[in-house]
Amino acid sequence: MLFYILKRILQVIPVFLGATLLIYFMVFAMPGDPIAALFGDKQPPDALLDQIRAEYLLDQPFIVQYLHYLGGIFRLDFGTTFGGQDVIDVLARTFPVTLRLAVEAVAMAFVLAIVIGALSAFFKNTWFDHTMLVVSLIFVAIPIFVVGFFAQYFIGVKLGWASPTVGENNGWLGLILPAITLAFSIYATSMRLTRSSTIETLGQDWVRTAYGKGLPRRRVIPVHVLRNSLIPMITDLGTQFGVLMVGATVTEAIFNIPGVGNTLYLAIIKHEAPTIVSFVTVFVVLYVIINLLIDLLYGLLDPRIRYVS
Amino acid sequence: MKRNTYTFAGVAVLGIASIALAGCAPADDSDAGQEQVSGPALKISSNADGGHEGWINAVSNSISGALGIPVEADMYPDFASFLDDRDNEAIPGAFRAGWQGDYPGLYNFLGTLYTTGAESNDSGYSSEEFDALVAEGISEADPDKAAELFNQAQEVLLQDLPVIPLWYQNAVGGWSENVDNVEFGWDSVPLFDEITKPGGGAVTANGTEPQNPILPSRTDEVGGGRVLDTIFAGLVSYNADGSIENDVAESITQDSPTQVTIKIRDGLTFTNGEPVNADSFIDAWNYGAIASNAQKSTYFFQDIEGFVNTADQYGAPDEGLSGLKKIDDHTFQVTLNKPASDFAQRLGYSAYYPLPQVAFDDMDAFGENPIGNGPFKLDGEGAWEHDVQISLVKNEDYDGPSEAQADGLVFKFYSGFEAAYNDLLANNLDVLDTLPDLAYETYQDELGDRSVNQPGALNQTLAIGEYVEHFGPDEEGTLRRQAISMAIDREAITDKIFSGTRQPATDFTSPALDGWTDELEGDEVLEYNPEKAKELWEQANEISPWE
Repeated sequence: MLFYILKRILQVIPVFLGATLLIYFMVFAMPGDPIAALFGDKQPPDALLDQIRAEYLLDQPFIVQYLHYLGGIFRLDFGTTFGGQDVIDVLARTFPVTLRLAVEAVAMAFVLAIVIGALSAFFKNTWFDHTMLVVSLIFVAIPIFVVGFFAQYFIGVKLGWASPTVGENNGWLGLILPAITLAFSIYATSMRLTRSSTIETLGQDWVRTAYGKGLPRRRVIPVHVLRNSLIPMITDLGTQFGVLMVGATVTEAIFNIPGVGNTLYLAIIKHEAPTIVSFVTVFVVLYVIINLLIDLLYGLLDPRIRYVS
Repeated sequence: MKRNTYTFAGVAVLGIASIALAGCAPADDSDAGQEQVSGPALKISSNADGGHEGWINAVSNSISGALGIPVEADMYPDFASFLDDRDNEAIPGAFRAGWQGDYPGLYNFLGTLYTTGAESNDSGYSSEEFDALVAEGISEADPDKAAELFNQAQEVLLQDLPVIPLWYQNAVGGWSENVDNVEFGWDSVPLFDEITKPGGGAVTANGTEPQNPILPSRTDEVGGGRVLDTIFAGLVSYNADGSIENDVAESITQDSPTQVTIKIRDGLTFTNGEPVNADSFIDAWNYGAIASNAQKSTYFFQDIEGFVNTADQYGAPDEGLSGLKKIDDHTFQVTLNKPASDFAQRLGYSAYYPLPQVAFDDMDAFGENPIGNGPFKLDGEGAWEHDVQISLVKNEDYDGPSEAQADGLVFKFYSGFEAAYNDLLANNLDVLDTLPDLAYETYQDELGDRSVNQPGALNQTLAIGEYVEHFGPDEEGTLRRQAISMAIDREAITDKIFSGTRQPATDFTSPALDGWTDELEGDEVLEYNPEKAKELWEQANEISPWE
């Protein structure tokens, strides 16, 4: 088991190197001069632009820039933004906000998805089941920005139940409205996954055996049925969480949340390589680690799964 | 279930790569009129991420309909790539251009854009007659005579049309029920010091995260500029109509078109107690001007004696500008290397603000917690919460014409105006200086008289490089430019697309400037006249056919 974990962790290294190189190269290859773009319509003459470029090593060949950046990473120096801030400070500031948002959204969506999904499976093909399936279809069909603007306008402006934007109250409470918006988009697939997985488990032999042994429903359902049917959900959780970390850009823009998605989007517009590469690399690595943790969680949930080195 | 990490990482990277590659291809938006269009397409370029596609398509349709040629919008994926081609004279047609005034003077709109070799002369225009009139205007001490000379220069431009003026951009803003006395200045920015909040507390206004440390010499964008203008006070300040009044200065005397003597009022201080004197200005200006400091506002000092403007060096030598001479603690003299009779008018711009001596110990740290002499000051250390907001309180020590009426001012950073507008409607935000496009139809109902729609010192034009085939500085080029200008239905576009938040242009500057006039000779070329346009285009085709 230990060897397995070690091997997986070592695999992170080539992924990390490959990702940073590829993304750095892509930013480098984007047409246009980011330094000139900073000045907009009032272009200073070349002497000044050259000086600023030299500061950011933008006049060096690609491989020099890349190695310098890589060297910085090992000292935990992720570079500087064009505005002079350390990228690592920007990351430290924006990451927790998006993390909170993702956790809240996933928690809300999953709790609801598991409850409704399981209930739908137990009451398969009843009016309850059909209604829930149609509702989930509606949730999936509405684009996220429609939900977002709607929520912002009606709940924020008209009813005044919550603030239309997040801004400085980006703690757990302030992020509830955007989290609900995000939850809409992940609820549907998770709920259907739970439902089908539970239906499958309910048909298994060992469930019949458990009932046959005389165990009450309140023991069979949580211990024997749910524990098994939730395994695919764990995979789903990992995927959704990883996607949310970076994909909450639209929601962050609508609700004005100072998180990762917003910052990354602005950095891409500006061709700000240190920010783009650092953020994306951190998330690639995070994604890989989350998946590792989920794989290990499998072993806990299902004793049939063993990792052989 | 064992998953292959390489697959995941590979898919993730491939996904990003495909999105990046897709984004790199310029969007192709063909907008040719339907019936008798023939010949090669005229292209109009801009950056796709600026939200300009709507009006560019409308303008394309208008030209296409009047002239009977296909007109296409040729969008670049982002501003950096657009800028690249623009600076390399590689844009194959017309492109979006415009100007936002640094100070409310005609020269800023004319001299910096259309004189031969000027920094922002993107079309490559050069006219001796124009240069001469502008040079005469900038040496003329009498502002009315100067304005007349500048307007005569504009009449030259109306014949040559180096760019085709489209419209002036209005300041369109609104405020909440919590505040009163909101007025917008010449630069479309609210006059924050005048706003009152009867319920007490800080006035909240929209802002964006400053992209640089908040320093007079390093701030070149709106986010930082907004804060800078409220925590510092310059030699002069601008009234709502663009006229100047003395703030820190006691008097500014233009001894000659190339020499200015500035006297500073006695007894003024920064919020840390340091006095505001001649050194505060001379040291600050030198810091901004010295080439080795590589500050972003170096450009604003280029007219001062001692400034070196060559291919190798752009800025003052390390000793500073020789044209800045201290006479005594409260007086200094500025010698210019070219005439600038409107120099006093420029001094309200943020690049000319003074700095306390403590700034020079560590400029970067100072930029994080700047200490100024303006109507507001930072609310203690850490008042700048990055990406969230920056909190200011009233500066009780301020002594000048712009005393703050409210207890404080908080700039909340928004990445988009829609979110800010919703906050405004919920009275969660007090002042919004730019309403989003989607509010244009409804804001008058929703805000009533808590909104404003007035001309700003900002215009939009279509530039066509002199290097583009068929548009050179000859008879054919001029005919074609005039034809295009008369083929654009500015009234319809400003009405339908902008809901009246733009005003059709009648010259190359802006109604917000002192000296503006709408009675220039030759301005019929900026009016919609499709028959005349077609006629001129055909005349050009006789000289050289459009193919």
